[in-house]
Amino acid sequence: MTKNLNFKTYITTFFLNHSEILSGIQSGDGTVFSGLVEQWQNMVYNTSLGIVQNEEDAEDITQDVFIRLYENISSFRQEAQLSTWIYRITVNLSLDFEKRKKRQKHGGLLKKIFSVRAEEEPVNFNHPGVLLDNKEKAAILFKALKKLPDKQRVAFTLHKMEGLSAKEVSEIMQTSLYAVESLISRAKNSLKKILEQYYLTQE
Amino acid sequence: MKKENLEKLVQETMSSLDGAAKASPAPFLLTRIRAKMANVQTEPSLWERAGMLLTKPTVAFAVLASVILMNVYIITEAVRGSTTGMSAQNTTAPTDEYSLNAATSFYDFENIQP
Repeated sequence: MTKNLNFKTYITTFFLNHSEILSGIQSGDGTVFSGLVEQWQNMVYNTSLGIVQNEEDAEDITQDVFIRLYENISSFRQEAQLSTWIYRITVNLSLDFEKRKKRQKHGGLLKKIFSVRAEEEPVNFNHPGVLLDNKEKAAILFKALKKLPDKQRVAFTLHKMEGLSAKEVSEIMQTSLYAVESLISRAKNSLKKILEQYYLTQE
Repeated sequence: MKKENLEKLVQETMSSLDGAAKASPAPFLLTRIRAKMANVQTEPSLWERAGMLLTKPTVAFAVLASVILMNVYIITEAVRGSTTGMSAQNTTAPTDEYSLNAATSFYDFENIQP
């Protein structure tokens, strides 16, 4: 029953254009919003997961993205792609979340000093979609990714994990195509250096 | 480690995400989003939260105690100020007595005649 309903909402939204989605959500049509969530949830979750590297956090961010989308649908510009707008919200919320988490971590330094058992941060992140043979190496790659500057990390994640072209990434990041290509190239070079360093110290 | 081996290892790690499937969130995401939206809507405003904070017994007592302490401090300072003011007055009294503060100007010396 639920599956049928989900399929119905998905189909309903799939054939709607942007203005119909916009007017549907603004008029409080629950089916349109349900369809929107159904259609974009994997993309939002996957992008967020690639950035924050934590399943629970990515789940929270996914929820926040759709709430933000629902609240700000009127500010959506018709000339932009809906997917670009959703990606942009996802990336911004994921980066904000990370910054907030870092601030909390630093704020809790005193607590950490005085607490008997310090809370350990999980070191490795295992992406659920990665092939079993590649799990270990992917975890090392994700760890290396965390060391990159935000812009390089976002560009690399969108390009590599979401399979988006440099042009699509440039639209999401609101920058030039040349800048994105440069960001991706620099990210790859930095990652190679970090990985080389990692494997050399592992010997 | 040999350079070729290192390069191979790095290359394998770089391409470890190739062919990775897209991750999916836990089921019933829409239900959780709706619940969160309802929570956001019923969340108290800033003023309501401030009111709630002030009506907490500990906060209320702390505010009351600080107000009382401030009053005590102001009163004691005022009392101390008035006593030191009196003593200052007493010390200036002899100068008045001997007309040391009498206003004299160049004009007074020049025009001694009435």
